[in-house]
Amino acid sequence: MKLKYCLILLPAIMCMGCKKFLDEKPNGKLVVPNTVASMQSLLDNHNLLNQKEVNVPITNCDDFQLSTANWLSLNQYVRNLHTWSRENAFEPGNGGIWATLYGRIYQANVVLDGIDEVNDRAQNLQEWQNVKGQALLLRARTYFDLLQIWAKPYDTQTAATDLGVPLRLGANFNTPSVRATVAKGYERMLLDLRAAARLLPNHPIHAIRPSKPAAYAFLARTHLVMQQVDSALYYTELALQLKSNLMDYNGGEGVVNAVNNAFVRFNPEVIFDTYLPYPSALQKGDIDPALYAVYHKNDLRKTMYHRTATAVGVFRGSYSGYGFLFNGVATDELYLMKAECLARKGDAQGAINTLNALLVKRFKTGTYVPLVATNAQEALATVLLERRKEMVFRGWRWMDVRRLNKMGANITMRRNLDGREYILAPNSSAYALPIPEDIINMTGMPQN
Amino acid sequence: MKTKLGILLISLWLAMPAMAQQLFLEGKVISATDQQPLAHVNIRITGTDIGTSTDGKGWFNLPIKSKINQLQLSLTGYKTLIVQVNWELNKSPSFSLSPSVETLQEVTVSTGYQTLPKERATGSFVQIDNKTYNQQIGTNVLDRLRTITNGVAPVSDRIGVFGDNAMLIRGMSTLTVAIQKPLVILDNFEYQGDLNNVNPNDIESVNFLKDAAAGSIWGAKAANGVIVITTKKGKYGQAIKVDLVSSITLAAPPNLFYDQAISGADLIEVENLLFSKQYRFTDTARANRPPFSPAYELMFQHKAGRLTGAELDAQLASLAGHDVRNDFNQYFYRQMANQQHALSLSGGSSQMAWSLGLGADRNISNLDARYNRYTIRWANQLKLSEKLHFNLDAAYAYTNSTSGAPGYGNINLGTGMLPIYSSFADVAGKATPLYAYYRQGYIDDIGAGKLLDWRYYPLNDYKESVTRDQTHDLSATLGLDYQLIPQLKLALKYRIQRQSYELNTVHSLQSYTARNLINSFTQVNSGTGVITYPLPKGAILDFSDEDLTAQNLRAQLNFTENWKDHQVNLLVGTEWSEKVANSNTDRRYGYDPDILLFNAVDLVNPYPSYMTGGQLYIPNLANMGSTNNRFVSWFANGAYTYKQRYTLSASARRDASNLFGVATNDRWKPLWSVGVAWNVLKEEWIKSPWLQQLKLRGSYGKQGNIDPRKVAVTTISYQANSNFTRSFYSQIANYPNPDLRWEEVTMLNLGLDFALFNQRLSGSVEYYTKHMDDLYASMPIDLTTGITAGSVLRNVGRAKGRGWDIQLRGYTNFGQLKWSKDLIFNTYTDKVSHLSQEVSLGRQAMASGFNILQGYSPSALFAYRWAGLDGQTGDPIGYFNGQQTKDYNAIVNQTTLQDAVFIGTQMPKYFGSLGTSFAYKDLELALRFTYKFAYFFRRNSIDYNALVTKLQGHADYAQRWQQPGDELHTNVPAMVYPLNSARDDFYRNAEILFEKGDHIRLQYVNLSYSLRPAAYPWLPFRAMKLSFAANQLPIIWRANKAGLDPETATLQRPANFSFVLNINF
Repeated sequence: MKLKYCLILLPAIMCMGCKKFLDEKPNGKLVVPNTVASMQSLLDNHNLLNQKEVNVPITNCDDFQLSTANWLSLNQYVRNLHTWSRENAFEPGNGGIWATLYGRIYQANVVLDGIDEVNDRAQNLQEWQNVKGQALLLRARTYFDLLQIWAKPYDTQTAATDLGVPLRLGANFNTPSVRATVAKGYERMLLDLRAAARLLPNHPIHAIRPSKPAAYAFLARTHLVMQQVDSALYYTELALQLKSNLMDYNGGEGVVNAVNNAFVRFNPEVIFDTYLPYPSALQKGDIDPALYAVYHKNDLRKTMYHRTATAVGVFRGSYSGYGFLFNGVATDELYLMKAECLARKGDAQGAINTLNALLVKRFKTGTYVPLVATNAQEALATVLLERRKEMVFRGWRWMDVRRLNKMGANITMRRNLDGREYILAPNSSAYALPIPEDIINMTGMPQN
Repeated sequence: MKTKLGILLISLWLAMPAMAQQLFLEGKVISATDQQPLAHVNIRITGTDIGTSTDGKGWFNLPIKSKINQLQLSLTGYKTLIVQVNWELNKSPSFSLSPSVETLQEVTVSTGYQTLPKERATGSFVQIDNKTYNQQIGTNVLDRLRTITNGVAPVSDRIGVFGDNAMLIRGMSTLTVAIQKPLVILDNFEYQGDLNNVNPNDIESVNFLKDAAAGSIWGAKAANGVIVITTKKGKYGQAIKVDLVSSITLAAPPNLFYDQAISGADLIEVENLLFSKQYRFTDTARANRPPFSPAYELMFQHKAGRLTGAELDAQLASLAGHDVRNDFNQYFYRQMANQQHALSLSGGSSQMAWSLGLGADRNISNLDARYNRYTIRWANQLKLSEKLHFNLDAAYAYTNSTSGAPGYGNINLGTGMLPIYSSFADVAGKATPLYAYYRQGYIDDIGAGKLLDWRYYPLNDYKESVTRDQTHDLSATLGLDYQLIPQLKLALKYRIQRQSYELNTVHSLQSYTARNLINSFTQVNSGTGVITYPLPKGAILDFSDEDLTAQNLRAQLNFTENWKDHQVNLLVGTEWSEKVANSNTDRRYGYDPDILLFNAVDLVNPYPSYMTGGQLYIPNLANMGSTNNRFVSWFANGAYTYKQRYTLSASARRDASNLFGVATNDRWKPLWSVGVAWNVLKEEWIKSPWLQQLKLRGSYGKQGNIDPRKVAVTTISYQANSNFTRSFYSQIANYPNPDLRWEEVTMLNLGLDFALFNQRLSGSVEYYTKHMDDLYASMPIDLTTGITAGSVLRNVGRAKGRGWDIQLRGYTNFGQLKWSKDLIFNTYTDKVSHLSQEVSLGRQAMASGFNILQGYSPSALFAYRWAGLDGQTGDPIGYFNGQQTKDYNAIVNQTTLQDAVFIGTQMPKYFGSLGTSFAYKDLELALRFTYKFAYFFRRNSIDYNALVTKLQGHADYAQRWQQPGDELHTNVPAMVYPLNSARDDFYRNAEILFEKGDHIRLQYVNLSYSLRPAAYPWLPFRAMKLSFAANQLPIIWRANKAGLDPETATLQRPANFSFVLNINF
């Protein structure tokens, strides 16, 4: 009889172990990110964060040309983008690169929101700093991309009122999106980058991860587009102190000179590796003949970058190897920034010397004749031309035209397609691209 | 054969105690109405466990101890007869049984927790009788239920979101596809494995639980309805029964020409136009050598001067005359042939009952894929004492399958569709290459003999990349019933199920997959010419396995007490369950299947690609996974019946699960139901000779639905190891949602069951409403938030559904001809009643699948207004802000929901089936028609963007606008180049492309002939039946004029024909 009552009590006994039973994790691969390592794992997702860079600055720039037939064969949104259309430049529905860029910011914000609360901060202080620095740099460089595409070029006079892009500084997706001013955007970038520079290590374990010299380079770039020469020079030199080695294009480490790629990925010049797949427009495009013509016949870049004068979609000079366009940070850009800043500060000789140090590695051995400049103005022009030749198809031409026009360069971009001429006048409002219409519809934010 | 004989012998031995007696009473039972012998009559000596049943000729042989016995003869559908028999006076008595209306109603329904008489049930149960169930033949248990169940609608393939063979019980209960499936209970416990591993011939009965009173005992998983499947069991004191079923099902290949593909000539015309516009010319210079279509290659040859104009025209004309569907038919498709054989044995002594089911299936698909299944199921009940019962069930299934040929639509070019004029073989039948991934000419002579042939030959390639899988599915159930006191029974049940699944694909060295990978990685030293293979030259083995272990433990107390007019049934219990799944995937390179060895490869360092020089990593497919879902539930159910007239029932359940990140106190979810039933006919004041049943019932309650993937906090999921940092990298798996709740469905059900005129007309009428609360839906979200999916899942909505489930059954006899009818008529409408977030854009309402829109059914279809074609250009004209316009970007991006045209719903408002059968003597013909009314679908038409970029064309191309005047007789827009994708988007969703779906289909026909052994005494068995069944028969009426199957967008399933032999020993 007693046994019977025990049996009746059985369900009650079972209840005891209930809580423990339900604490089991439902999916082995699912993790709540609450350790430094789990935060790092989010930032190590190179597929998402390093290899899906924006193609707009290339599609929109004037380093290449399309024939009418090739332009017509493009998707209508790319056709619009390439001709600087004020509407329908982005395919509706999935948000395109707007969504990609803000997705990156979300990823950075998840880390930044949680990094102070992780369980193992004290035990892994160095790693903790590294992760936080990486997240800050990721967020800042993404705002940099956004501002170069959807905001007017930085102008000290109007930046405080010019509309920039929404600044999302936390992962809470219930916060409405409101466009901040251009000034606020740059201010935030500098803040994040300076913090990143403090936190990041001098040498990363791999160039796929950001490092202190990368943060300095981003700071220099940002000051450059803000037309703040002193600061740009300051950070360029800090970066160069940490890494300044150049490849000799005649051969050596990093140079392979294969049919479709002249350099290997992660070559000695690369400080931070990011890339983008070929934009469909560039796949069908030819290099601007005027630009091709200015490469000297002994300049190795002429053949190592461009297979022929009408090199259709076969740019060989990417630092990311075949098939992808490098747009990360490399030491050659630091030399060019330094030279430009020196020239702008009136130091013609310093500028030319810096440039010569770079170019001697770009010419066939023994053929390089060092450049000379009689004045800073001439030095600046030389530096800017070399900058365009060296950094072709890295996505910098668009930003350069924007900032140079602000400084009076008066560059007009033109396209002649299907019997019509498209002109992008200097400092045109079209330099701030239309925000994708579905984003405007959803948020009600003002269009450019 | 030996094993089967052995099993038979063991079974005979087990039944021995029932036979080892001295005296025998031999008798015969016939029907009182037609004097025909009655089989399966249960004969029992009252007050004992001694019994037997009649054979096919009505004979029985009963062992007796004393000479005077009281016998009880019972058979479903007949009045039970109790007679006194004196062996000395009559050694071979004959009895006749008369049909009973009453006994037919003594039907029980099962909820998986208890079996209760249907008479006292307050909930909505649907039982599928064995006869109707067996009118269709199939490998899967559930397939045949889709068209014969009251309240169940088979989901049209066109809706797409629910996948193949989906069924919905009483419409939708959730908008989340992953949790839309009904809960399937197999013998008391949720079935966790693959239901394909269950032999349909092992099934004794199927019950559908449709409302809260029936289903709420299943709590948080019951909102989509519950299907309770019970397998065959032996009965105490039953003589050995042996049933053999053998069937073969044949089907012709599907009609590939149902697909409205563009003609070869039209496609070449399009390609000619593209060539003249230099479309894709720059691809000739790309380093990865993208392929061109055969027609384009000819045009390039002409351009290069290697073909004259006349030669080009002749070759293009020859291409245009070809249709790849003929090649598919000739080389790949064949007749489907499925065999199914099943043997069931059952029997029992006074202390023990057992049953054994054996099954073997051998299927050969239309594409020559093989599938074999062998099942064995053993059920055993033991009476250890009057108070203690014990049962042990065990089942094992083994399946294996082998992949077959690729189907139409499954071979593509790297850049798009297979051009319709392609071919797989030359006139001599020799395989011809298809340049699917790299360009013709370039790979024909690449590598100067140093590489493997880099071409792809679809004719043979599937024979070189063969996928095989196998499943072992083993389950065991232990049950213990102990009668503590006469009113109280303790039941303990435990099930363990283990399913292991292995899949492997061997890509032989001859397969394209292997050759392509090996070639890509081949390294030729430019100095020495030495060739090395970082990816070894050999076969490639892909394999994965998955282990699933599910355990359920249930402890339950049942209390039953009857006194005077009162009857009380209570049950209370708890159930713990766990489902653990582990998976493992990997790949081996340089695999040699003969010696079972493989080569290690360098997965970490990049190698230059042979073709482009780009850096390639050897693909690393290694992956592991593990999931563990746990539930703890408490449940209680009670029913009180007064004077057999009034029943009140109530049920409550709380579930908790190990959902990730949810605080413990939020885990518990209480769900409950109440029900009442009034058995009007038991009232004393009602006396009607023509009324045999009248019952009113009603129920109200809540059921839940849980999505185990959804958790409340941010989670990340690890992806793989980075080649660069050698660390794991991850991505965000779940966006945080602290407000996440389980979905809840509240259902009200009112029902009437009746039977009139001696069962000549019976049926049920039910009306239900359901309120779905806290529905998860993916709501569009501002992409600026960084949620790249563009939507987040939230508990955003409430929806209402309501409908009628009506089933009428009738029997009419015209002399020897018996005619029966079974009409199922269902209505269903639903509407989103509340939405916490507004959807304003027409485009969002036109996304495929279901969309949640305030005031509309989730299956609502919306379209753009259509204003015809422009008479000058053939451009389609739409409306924006009330004005006719050709600004397609404005139409597509800014049309509001208010300005879009509401077409109707994708789910039918009226649906059901009509089954009818005619029996004449030994012949029976059964037919079933299914119908769906008041629903819509969108038909496909030409999409110029897909035509140009993927060479995917539609036959409507031939109907397109070509010159002024055409707009009077066509709605197909003119072809334009350059492409305008917004124009295609507008046309694709224009109102003219929507059709009424209404249709009637002859679902199946079954003709059977039963051999009465009485007429052929020399036959060694009790009964035999031969049947012929035809399934998936054509539509006999449809509303759309285009001749389209409203349920299938791609290929129609071909009709199949089965021949079945049933023998009972």
